Amino acid sequence: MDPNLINKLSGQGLIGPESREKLLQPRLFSVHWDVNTLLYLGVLLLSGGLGILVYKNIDTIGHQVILLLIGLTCGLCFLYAHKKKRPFSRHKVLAPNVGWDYIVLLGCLLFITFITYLQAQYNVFGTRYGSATFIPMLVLLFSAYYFDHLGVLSLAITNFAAWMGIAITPYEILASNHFNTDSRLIYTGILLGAILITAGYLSERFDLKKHFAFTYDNFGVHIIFIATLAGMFLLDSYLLFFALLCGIAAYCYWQSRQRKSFYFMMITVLYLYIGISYLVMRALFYSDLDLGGIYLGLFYFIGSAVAVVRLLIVENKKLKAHDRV
Amino acid sequence: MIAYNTTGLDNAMINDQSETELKRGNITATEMAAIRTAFPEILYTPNFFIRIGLFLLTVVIAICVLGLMMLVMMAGINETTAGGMLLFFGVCAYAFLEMWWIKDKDHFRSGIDDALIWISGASVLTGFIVLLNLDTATSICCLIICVIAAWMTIRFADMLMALTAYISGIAFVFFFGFEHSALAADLMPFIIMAASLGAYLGFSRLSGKYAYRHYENCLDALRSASLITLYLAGNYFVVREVGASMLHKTGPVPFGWLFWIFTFAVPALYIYSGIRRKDRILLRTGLILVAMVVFTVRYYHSLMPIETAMVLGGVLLIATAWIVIAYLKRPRHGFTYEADETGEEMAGLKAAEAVIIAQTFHKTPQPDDSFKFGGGTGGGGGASGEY
Repeated sequence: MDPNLINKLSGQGLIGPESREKLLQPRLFSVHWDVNTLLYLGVLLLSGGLGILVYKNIDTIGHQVILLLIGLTCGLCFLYAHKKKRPFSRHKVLAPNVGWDYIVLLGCLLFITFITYLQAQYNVFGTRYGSATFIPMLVLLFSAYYFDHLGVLSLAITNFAAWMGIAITPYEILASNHFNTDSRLIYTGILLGAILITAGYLSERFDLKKHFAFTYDNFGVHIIFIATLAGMFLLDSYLLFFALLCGIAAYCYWQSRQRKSFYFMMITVLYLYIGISYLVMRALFYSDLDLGGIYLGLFYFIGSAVAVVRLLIVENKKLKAHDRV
Repeated sequence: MIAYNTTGLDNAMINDQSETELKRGNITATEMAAIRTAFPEILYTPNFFIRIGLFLLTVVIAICVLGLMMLVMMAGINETTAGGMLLFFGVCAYAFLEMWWIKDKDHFRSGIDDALIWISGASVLTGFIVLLNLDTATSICCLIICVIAAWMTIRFADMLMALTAYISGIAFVFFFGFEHSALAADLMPFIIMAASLGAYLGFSRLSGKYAYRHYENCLDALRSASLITLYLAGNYFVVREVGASMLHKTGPVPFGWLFWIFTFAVPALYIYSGIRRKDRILLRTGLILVAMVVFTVRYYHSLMPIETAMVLGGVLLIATAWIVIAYLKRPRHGFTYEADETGEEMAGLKAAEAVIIAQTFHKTPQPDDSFKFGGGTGGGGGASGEY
């Protein structure tokens, strides 16, 4: 806080002398995020560089040696992580030191590489490709809970999605899922979303790693909404999907009120708005109103968007009223 | 000056800062309550996510209103009417923003005002360009953008608008020089460097002044932007490639050694003075520009293959980070490794970090095309089962 403001506040008697003393202490200059970004980039560069190096020299090194090296490093990472970790608890457990988080992450990544390598080189799992993704997924999921690591949990979730044959990372969720050519993806997406949302609900309900709930829900809500909307746009039974959309939105609305989450409130309202607008546009498109239809459509968007703006403002007020201590 | 209610802005700032101090445990809850009553909330600022929603919806409304206007005028549309209509629309949006949302409704960073700032700015600009018959000189376009954006920055203290104004201002100097004088074209790196340096010193002087307290964010953004243009104007790669494309001069740049010195010295200088003065903007800009140094060197001199460079760079980065962490185990010289954020903010950042990790490291064995997932179809309850 700026010294002038501190003096102003204490001059008006709003803060006591004790707080004034505390506030006037010079603040330390934190380099936490700068250093962490360097560390993160370092890990990214090193792992990428080593990968290329190994790939280029595979003839001279030999597969077994590389596999052995990866396996050893991976084992060492997990051993270190296990030795240093704080005791398990149902609640949030803090990392024992800075590097530990990265060591856990490195160990998990190396494990994935190890399995991929085994499959690519020696075809260990044969044609049961599913188990080549399923086993790392289980290990990741276990590690996420065992070491209390959100990053590993999100890796486990993306792996689980990959096992089901769908992509849920932010960039790929729309780019790589070809809902129009493969309608099975729509059902997969809905199922995956339902599983993830249930997982989020259960973590909250049974107070088992409550802070994981957001990550589960975040992935789950987006994929289930996108898959349902894709179902509405592409399949014949669009009304059924619309009913499903309304049901999901109602659940998400209830949850966002429960958890006082502005984020879920906003995305729920927007996804539902897209669904409703699609229905209206579809009705207008199949009517024979011609130019009048375009006029009506524009009027619809203006009117409905104003209504949604009002709705968001009201919801914001409600959430905020509860938010205040 | 600024369009928003200044008492409201001050109150919001005091409340924000006090809340942070409350979370840090520097003030008590009773004191916080007293501050809240003494400086009541006047401006309407919703949660950040609601702000995004309101922004998108306002854009939808504006596009539909514009579409409706176009549709009504469809018969008599030509360049003049279209340009005039865009100008009219922009002015209306601007008036609506100032008179209604800000003056009456006291909205501040609500998403609606953000959207209207950009909508009115963009449509006035397009209106001008359409009216000027689309073939104006680039420098004039830049000048128009700069004037509009500068006005918006002064009225609404929007950070992105401030950046737009600054970049278009620099672009104006750049294109104006090339269009009007051969000598200026040759001296362009130095002109841009001088302009950026002047801008940086000016912005630094304004920042921290009480009269400009509402522009603190804008000034921060402008300071880093001017540091970056100052560096880029002297960077060997930029000088050489821009010279090649604008003046068709190929081959090494005259006084190349001078630009090489700039390329290396400027980021080092930024980082050094950033640490010296505990100035976050100098420090972070310097750190980001190190990447540009590496890129420039690698572009002209391939010292080593990419993978060796990556491994070495990675080791170097990890080692640096590790040394800094070890050195700052307890705070020294006013620096600390402890995060400044409160627990609540940390939780949000951790969740965001998890998404980034999933995005950057998600390459996992993907089942190939022959593999079909079969369990997904019949299982999901509800609609999918009946289909």
